[in-house]
Amino acid sequence: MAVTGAPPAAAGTGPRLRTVRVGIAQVSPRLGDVAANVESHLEIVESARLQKTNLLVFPELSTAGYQLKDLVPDVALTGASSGFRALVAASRGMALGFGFVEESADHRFYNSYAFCDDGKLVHVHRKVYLPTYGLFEEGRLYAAGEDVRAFDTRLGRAGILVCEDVWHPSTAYILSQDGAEIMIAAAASPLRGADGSERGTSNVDVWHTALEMYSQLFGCWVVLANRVGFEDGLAFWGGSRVIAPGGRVAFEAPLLNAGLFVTDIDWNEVRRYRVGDPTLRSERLDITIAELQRIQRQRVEKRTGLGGLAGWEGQP
Amino acid sequence: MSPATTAAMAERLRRGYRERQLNVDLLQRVLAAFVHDEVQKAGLERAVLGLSGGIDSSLVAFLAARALGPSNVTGFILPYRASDPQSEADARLVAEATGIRIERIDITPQVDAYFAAYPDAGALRRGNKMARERMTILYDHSAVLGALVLGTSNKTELFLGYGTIYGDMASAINPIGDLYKTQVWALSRAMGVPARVIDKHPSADLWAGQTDEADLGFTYAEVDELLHFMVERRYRHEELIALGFDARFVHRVEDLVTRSQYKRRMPLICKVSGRSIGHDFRYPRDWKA
Repeated sequence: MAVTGAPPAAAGTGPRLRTVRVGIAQVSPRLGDVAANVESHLEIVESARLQKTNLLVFPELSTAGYQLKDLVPDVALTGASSGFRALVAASRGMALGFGFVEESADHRFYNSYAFCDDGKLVHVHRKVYLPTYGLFEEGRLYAAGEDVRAFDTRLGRAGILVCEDVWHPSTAYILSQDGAEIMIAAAASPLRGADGSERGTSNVDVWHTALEMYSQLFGCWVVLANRVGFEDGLAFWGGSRVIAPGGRVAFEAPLLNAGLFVTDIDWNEVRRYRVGDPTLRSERLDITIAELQRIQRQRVEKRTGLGGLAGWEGQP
Repeated sequence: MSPATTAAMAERLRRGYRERQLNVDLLQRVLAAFVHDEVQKAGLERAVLGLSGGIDSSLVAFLAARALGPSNVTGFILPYRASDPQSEADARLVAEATGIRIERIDITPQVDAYFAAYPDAGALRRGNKMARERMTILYDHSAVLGALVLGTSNKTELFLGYGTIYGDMASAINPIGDLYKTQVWALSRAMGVPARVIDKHPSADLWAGQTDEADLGFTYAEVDELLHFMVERRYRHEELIALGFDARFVHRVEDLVTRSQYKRRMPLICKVSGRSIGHDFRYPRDWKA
């Protein structure tokens, strides 16, 4: 495992169980009202603190709401914003993740997720993959993030995926290779399809299946924090989960209902799973990188000439 | 593929559609929560709807009663003198089953007063007028009661344009607008809508003996299956015919969907400024709600 930076305190090495109390704030933000949302975040943080929560995660864009359209610049925060600073400060004694619209120094807007640990900001993930199809229009609204990185926390090494990032397995693969022991998937996923198929409801199951698979393939904890509530006819389905290394669903929050849901996990399950299923150690980064570079090179070559026009068989 | 193979594949795909199940438990929860949430976001507690005795408004009455409590829902029975008395009886049955309040207003005087000047007006004009008179009554009472107007148009009729723009298609929120008619039937059965309402032939009840399916020239079961492959599954024209749908039927439905697009959109605004409503002034409706 390629852990960089200082090893977290006793991460997965001691003989004892290492209990981490995980809280998921399955909230319904007030659309476009950052002040009200920050206030309710602070209340939930205090409630989680009373319950001795070690790690508290909010969904994607939890301080802003999702279907923002032209509101994006109005709700954007920077590191100097009082609401942002209040949330970072509120994380003292715990780890805390929340979603926000970020405005960069050069006035680009990102769909971002902040991770704080004991009162300090330790990581900001800018959503890389912005869905811009069907009902989604994030490509109109946001600039895309340009990195996917795991980071150290007092609990262990963690990585963030924001919603559509999950649908690009390269992101989870990168986090895994970067040493993530826990992946936090923050989402604002609207319900699409209510078929009573064998596995239940369409995109809800697809989500759960993908995350269970990541926990199996990468031997890590996966926490899904998905929001609830309605915005302009979109129904966000909730159904947040904690999935143990290997794919066992350790905790399920209900569909549709808002709440703070708290559950205990044993962080050392990462080690036990990887001892029994040591696929990570044989992963060949060199092959992956070399082959991806070859594919990239060939794509560029294909684009030369007529730009890859389909169906063209030469001059008539 | 040989024709026999194609036919077998088509049959398998269409059987897959017919054997699909709806997650009715989840749908009830989502749609009732939607009504509750939107009414609350409007700063209100109540809802009104036109109660025709048909299945669409009956299902919406059941959802609204579940969402808001029956005492916060008023169903308006709005008959015209030519309406089938059975429609009103069925509306009253639904009100009893749900416990919602009802009000009855006969629209005959206001409709007949208008058409006294146009005695030759045909059924379509009269039907549209009745739908719009009912709309004005619902909106008037919604203001008096502090209520949202609930829409009762299903996805099939919205696609086919089988409704009156600014009449029965007008509402603040529509909990069943993403349910095909056959799905309305399935959800209605699950929610306990009286069997009499579910089993009767759907009708706009504008004249004696009228039924939707006779008006349209095909059944809801047929058109819902076609719309499923056309809209939900994105099958192209030739692929729909390869699935075994009759070419004329496919043409007809494509034409109905295309020609009624205007009914599903807000009025077009001609853009002459830098920032225009409907073009690039884009805010969510649930803005800070």
